[in-house]
Amino acid sequence: MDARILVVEDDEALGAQVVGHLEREGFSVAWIRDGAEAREVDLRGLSLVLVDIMLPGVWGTELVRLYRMRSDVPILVLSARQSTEDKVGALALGADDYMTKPFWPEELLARVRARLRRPRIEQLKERRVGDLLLDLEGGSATIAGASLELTPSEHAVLAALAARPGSAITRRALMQAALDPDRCATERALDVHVSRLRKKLGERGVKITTVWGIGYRLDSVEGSSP
Amino acid sequence: MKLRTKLGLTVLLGLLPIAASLLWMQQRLHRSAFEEGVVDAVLSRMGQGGRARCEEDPAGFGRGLARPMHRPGARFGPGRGGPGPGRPGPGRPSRGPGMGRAVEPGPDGIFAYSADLRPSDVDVPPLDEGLASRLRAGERFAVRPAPGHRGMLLYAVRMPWSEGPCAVLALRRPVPPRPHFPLPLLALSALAAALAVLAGGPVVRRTRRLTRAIRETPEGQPAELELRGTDEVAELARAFDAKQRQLAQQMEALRRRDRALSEHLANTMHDVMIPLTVLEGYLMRLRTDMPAADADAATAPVLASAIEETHYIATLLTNLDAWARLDADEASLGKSPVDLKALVERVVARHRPVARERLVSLEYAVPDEAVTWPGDETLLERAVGNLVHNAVRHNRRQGHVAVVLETREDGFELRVLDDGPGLTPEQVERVLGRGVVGENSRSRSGHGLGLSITARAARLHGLTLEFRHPEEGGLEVVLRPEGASSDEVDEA
Repeated sequence: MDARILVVEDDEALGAQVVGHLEREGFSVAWIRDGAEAREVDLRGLSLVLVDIMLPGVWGTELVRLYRMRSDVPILVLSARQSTEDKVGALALGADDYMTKPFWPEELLARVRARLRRPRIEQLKERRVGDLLLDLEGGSATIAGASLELTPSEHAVLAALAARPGSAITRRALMQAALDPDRCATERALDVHVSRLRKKLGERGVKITTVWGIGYRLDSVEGSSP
Repeated sequence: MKLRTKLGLTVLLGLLPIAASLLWMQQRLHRSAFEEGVVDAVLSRMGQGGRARCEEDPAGFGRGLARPMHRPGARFGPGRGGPGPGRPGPGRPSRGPGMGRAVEPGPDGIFAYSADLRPSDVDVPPLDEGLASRLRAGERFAVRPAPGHRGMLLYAVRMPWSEGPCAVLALRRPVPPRPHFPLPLLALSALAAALAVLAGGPVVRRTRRLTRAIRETPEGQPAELELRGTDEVAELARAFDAKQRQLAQQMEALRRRDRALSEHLANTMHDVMIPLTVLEGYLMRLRTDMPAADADAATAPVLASAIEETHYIATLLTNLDAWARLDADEASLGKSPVDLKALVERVVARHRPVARERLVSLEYAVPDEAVTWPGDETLLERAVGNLVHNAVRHNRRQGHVAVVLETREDGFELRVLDDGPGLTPEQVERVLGRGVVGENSRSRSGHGLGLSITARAARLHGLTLEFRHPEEGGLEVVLRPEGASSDEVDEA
């Protein structure tokens, strides 16, 4: 990844860890330990700023205010202060996210990736997940270039799952999105559609996973194109 | 009862016994003066030749004396005219109303007795013992109701001499008429009560102004009171003003102390959370960098336990912070729209590493549309976090936990499901009941503090917390707005 991230953290051990986690993810990281120095930093070219709140010399929220006046760079606040007032105050000053300590490294990385994610251009006419391509207007579908014969209900169920690939969708949401409420919007009918879809998809590119307690999820099979 | 009404009634009730006492005294004086008049008249008549006639014929004296008394103009009692024998004079008590009227002799006349109270004749009846005892005691005369004669009094009068058969005379006379009721006294009492009511007006008005000033003062601000004057109302206002200033100072001191404590707590949390975060980082680094050969060895479960315990400490610390916030003033809690989708995602992300170490599947689902609820984001996140923490921590290995947020026509429904051992209804009741938090919070295997915080936070946010016990086992905890309908759905 070519993203450049600035970390403002005075604690040596924690700062080193955060920088290490980010660098292992492939980010380019700059680390400032002193609040006064952080006030003067050049924000141009930065993709994200991680700011601790309780810094020596300057309060982290003051940095958030200064940064927001000078740049639109996303700011993620890291703080041990748990109160809602602190969160609301930091967000009101221009922070984009607020993360309380302690946190697991993967939680931090997930938040960083979410902040860096570019806005997805919604494909209104078609939807692609791995090797699966759904034509939303024509009602057709292909998998790895091969045509899939789907009934309108099966196509609707697959489109609803493909709207958020990798995320579990509840049975209720699938029934509401894909099945005709006046005819066959039952859980049994949904299970039948999913069963048939699984057979038709086989092991080619995507698979429908049952998620305990929730419903179903459409996952890309490793090896397929992203 | 209003102050003025109470004041008027108090004056009236105070005056009535006084008026009754005065009335009673008036009647006593009136009767005493009347009796004195009768005795004086007897003595006067006896002094004007009556004694000689009596001693000549003691038995017929009464009859003889009675006859002239019936003559027109004859008087045997207090008469009209100037002072003289038988009339009130200087030094005598006032005789009151009716004292100028003639005292008519009774039908049985007058009886004479010797100084030792023996009848003067065999025809004369013995002197009434009640009267006799009083005369023997040294009284000049004695009076009592005449036995057998309604409306009559029996008089016994000792003469100024002690010789002869006429040293004591007994005679019957009518009971004196009652004096007129003293209407002016009653009017005076009513007037005094009315004046008391009027006099209370200014006091009542000032008291009302004082009450209004206190009631209309915004909360947290000192009341502007009218402190002028030297009476009790002004004194009350000054005392209240002094007390409110004292309370304001105490409140300010408490606020300063609370701010200092909060700051101290925040600093302490900061000092604890940073090394805890570092520790979590090191543990994860160990986990990530662990050689595959060690993954199945004894090192792996030890590391998993260390990760879990670290997570437990972090949860406990944040719960203690949340508990302190719940104990604080409710008004200080935030009430801004909370993005519940983002909240669920954050909670699941925070618990995933621990769930993975326990080999528990942790999944979530949120709707496409935004779901918000007004409240304190920290507390709501803690409420949901505790449900997920318990579902993961108390689940079996290879177990499942699901967090489902769904919209409903009347709001939303947030469910946390697991296929662990669940909780019995008794355990739920015990955990959510009052007074068990301390006990349960000491038990590391219990659900106590976390679920108690969830229940309190839910109540504060207008949410209901429902525990369902699916037939296939496990536990399903549902958070939904109060009043929203329950809508159980069988999931996969």
